[in-house]
Formats: sequence, structure tokens, C-alpha cells
Amino acid sequence: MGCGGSEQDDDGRDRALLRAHLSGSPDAFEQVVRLHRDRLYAVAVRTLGDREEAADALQDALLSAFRAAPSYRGEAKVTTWLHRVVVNACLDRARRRAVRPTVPLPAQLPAEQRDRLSERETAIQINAALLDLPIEQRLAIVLVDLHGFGVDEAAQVLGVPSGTVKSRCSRGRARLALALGHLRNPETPTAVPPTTAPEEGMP
Amino acid sequence: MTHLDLDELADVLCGEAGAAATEHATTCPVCSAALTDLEAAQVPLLAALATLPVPEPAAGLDERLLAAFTRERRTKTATDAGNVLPRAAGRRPPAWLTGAAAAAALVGVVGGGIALLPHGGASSQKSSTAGSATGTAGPAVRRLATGTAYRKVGPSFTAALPLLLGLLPTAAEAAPRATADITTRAAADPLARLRDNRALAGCLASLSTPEDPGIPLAVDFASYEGTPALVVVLPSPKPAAVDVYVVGPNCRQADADLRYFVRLPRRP
Repeated sequence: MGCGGSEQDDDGRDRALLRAHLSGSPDAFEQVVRLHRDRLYAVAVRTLGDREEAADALQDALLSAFRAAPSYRGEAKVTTWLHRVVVNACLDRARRRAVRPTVPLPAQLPAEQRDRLSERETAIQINAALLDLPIEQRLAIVLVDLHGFGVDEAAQVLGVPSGTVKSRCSRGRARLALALGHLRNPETPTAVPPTTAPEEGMP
Repeated sequence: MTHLDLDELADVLCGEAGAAATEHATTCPVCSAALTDLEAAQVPLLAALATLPVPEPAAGLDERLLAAFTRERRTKTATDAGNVLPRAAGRRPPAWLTGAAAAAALVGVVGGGIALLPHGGASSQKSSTAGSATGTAGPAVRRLATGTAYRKVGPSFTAALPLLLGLLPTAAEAAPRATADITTRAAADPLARLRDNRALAGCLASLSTPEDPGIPLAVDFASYEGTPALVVVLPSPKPAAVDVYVVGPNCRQADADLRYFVRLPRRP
């Protein structure tokens, strides 16, 4: 999470910059953004699957954060708060989007074919499979598996209970495993398309 | 009980399934095997996810964000001063763009040449600067048509800046253009609407406030990345810099139609 120091030090620095921003320091908010924008942008790209749209979402989100800074109460880390704002902007855009064209992905890839895939092709396949996930599961996996958030912190970012994050991660991983051919026995019930079973842990 | 589906097995795997599903997964041989299979898939899956490259930072993102924050600060300054609100009904243009100041400062439109249009009607950079400094009757706004084909990449902004700021000698002043003339040109000239004083005032109001330092130093009817665009130069919160906004033909009070932003040193 940090940029050199411990997480606690980093958050202390972020809070100090936010206070300076609220006191009228002209560059303080920009400094906070510079420290975190690459990670925030990566979350947006991986969530939306489109670099331009991710940049738009990030701009919307950070402008909202700029305006809402006076209402930041310090209960969560600054970076958690920023991620939450960005995630909400991504969710807004994803839900407004009518139908996103996706590259059809084969349900199973033969093992020998997988072995021949280059790293780049693998990345394309994984990204395509990620984008095929329901956005709630995709966000949970992006935060926890790709960006190293703990389940509890991801729950703060997503505004849901920790159990819901665990369920979304597990369901998302199961779908990814199926789509990417990591299941050894495709004849088992895991190959059965998932139902719309309600998430455990939902309030 | 029928066999568990993928979501239910995934919930069992992470300990978030209900009691009935959890029990079924341990007693049903088929589902138990499926659960084992799913569990075994976690390691190669997480290893595959770990190979994903981090997305490269977006080109121009910093400039976009800086422009957004700068505009927000200008708006906040105006709001705090009880002046212009960006999206509020009844928002009015800055004082320097209304009444006599507007008539004086924004008379005439250039056409291929360069016009310096101070509020007093005198055509000199000195009078413009004086008006800006005293603020008594509204400053002049340099309205230019340098013909510059601005581009995001390359030196076009830096090269044009001395001209925009009046640091280089200007060409002959162009004659003012009548409104009727503007109307007839609208179809061929996407920027024709902005050549009208009122429309230009609305556009500039979306970027500036009546409070110094929001008064534009110059506007240039030009092109950006091959399409017609208005380049607006504003003082920067940083004293040694200027903020350059590029707006499109649809720039108006409620929406700047912002295409690009860059902060440049006043004297490169």
C-alpha cells in the first residue's frame, strides 16, 4: 500500500496532506493524488476494461474527493477512502453502460493449448475472463487478489460486510478457474453454470 | 438435495455457505470431488493472476487532473466570494465581461490577424496591462487568431506563448466583425458562435471568475489536434506560470467543452 514507508507512516502523511489541503495549501491535494493515482488508475482500468473510460472515471472520482475532502472523517485510511470513491465512480459507469462488447472466451482451454500461450496471450485471456465476471466479483478480485487489499479493507472500500467480500472473491475465482481451464475435471458440478444464488454474508 | 452449483461450491470453499450446503458438500461424493477440484484450482489461478502486468499510467492524466482541480479552485474562489457558480441557475458572467467593460473589451473579431482589444478602445498592449492592473473599468482581453495548429505533443504551445502574452510584436489589428457576418459564417466556421461577445463571455465564465487571477490574458481562435478550438490563457495560481485551456466550439457557461490543459512557465 505504501510508497516507501510503513502503512501507518504513509497514512499519517496522507492525512497531513489532506489537512493542508483543507487549510488552503494549493498543492496538497495534488500531492495526495500523485502518490496514489497509479494504483487508483490500475483499479479503474481493471474494473472497467477500458483505459479512456478508466481515466474519465478517475477524474470524476478525484474531483468528487477534492470537493468532499471536508467531509472526510478519518475513520478509514486516506487511500481506502480514495479507493472507495474511485470504485463508486467505476460502478456508476459500469452500470450506466448498456452492453459492453466482450471477446468470446472458450469455456475450457485444452492443457496443451494453454501451455503454448505466451505471457501476453495469457494476460489477454485473464483480462477477458475478468471482464466477463459480474462487476461486484470483479471488483473484489481486483482489490484482494490483484492489489493486495485485506478482506476487511476491501470490505471498507466496497461498503459491504467482510463475508460478502470473501464470497465474491471465491465465486469470482471459481468462474475464472472454469473459464481459464484450471479445473481438472470439467465433468464435475463445478462445470455447471452458476445460478443466481444469493451471496452469503449479504446484509 | 441436488448437486451444488459453482457459486454454492465457492461459498463452501471460503466458509461463507449455509449449513445445508456445507453438509451436502461433505456427504455427497460428487460435490465433495468437485469441491476438491475447485480448491486445487486456486493455486494455479492465483499464480496466473499474479502474472498480470500493471496497467501503464494514462498519457496526459496528470494534465487532466491538474486542469480539473484548477477549475475547481477557481469555482470555489468565486463561490466563496459570492460570485459565479458553475452550474447554478442564474449564474452571471464575470463583471469584466458585462456592460461597458464587455463592449469595450470584446469588440471586434479577428480574422487571420491579431487584435488587441483594450477596454478603452486604444490598441496597445500597455493600455491592456494598465486596465488589468487597476481593475477600474475591466481589463482588455487579447483576442488573437494566430493560426497556430496546436498539438498536444510538440512545442506548439510553448512557441505560441510569447505571442499570446504580447511578448512579441503583433501583426496588424483586424477589423471588428459584425454579428450578421458571424451568423453567415457559422456553417463554415465551427468557432463562429464563440466570436460573438456574449457567447465568448459565457465560455470564459466557465473557466474564470471575476476575482483576479481569473481574468484571461489572451484567447486564440485556432485549432487543436486538427479541429477548431479556442485557446484561453489564464494566470496561474503559480506566479511564474500561466494556465492554458483548450476548449471546443461548444464551450459555454455550463460546460467548458474542455479538450486540453497545460501549465506553462510565463517565460520559457
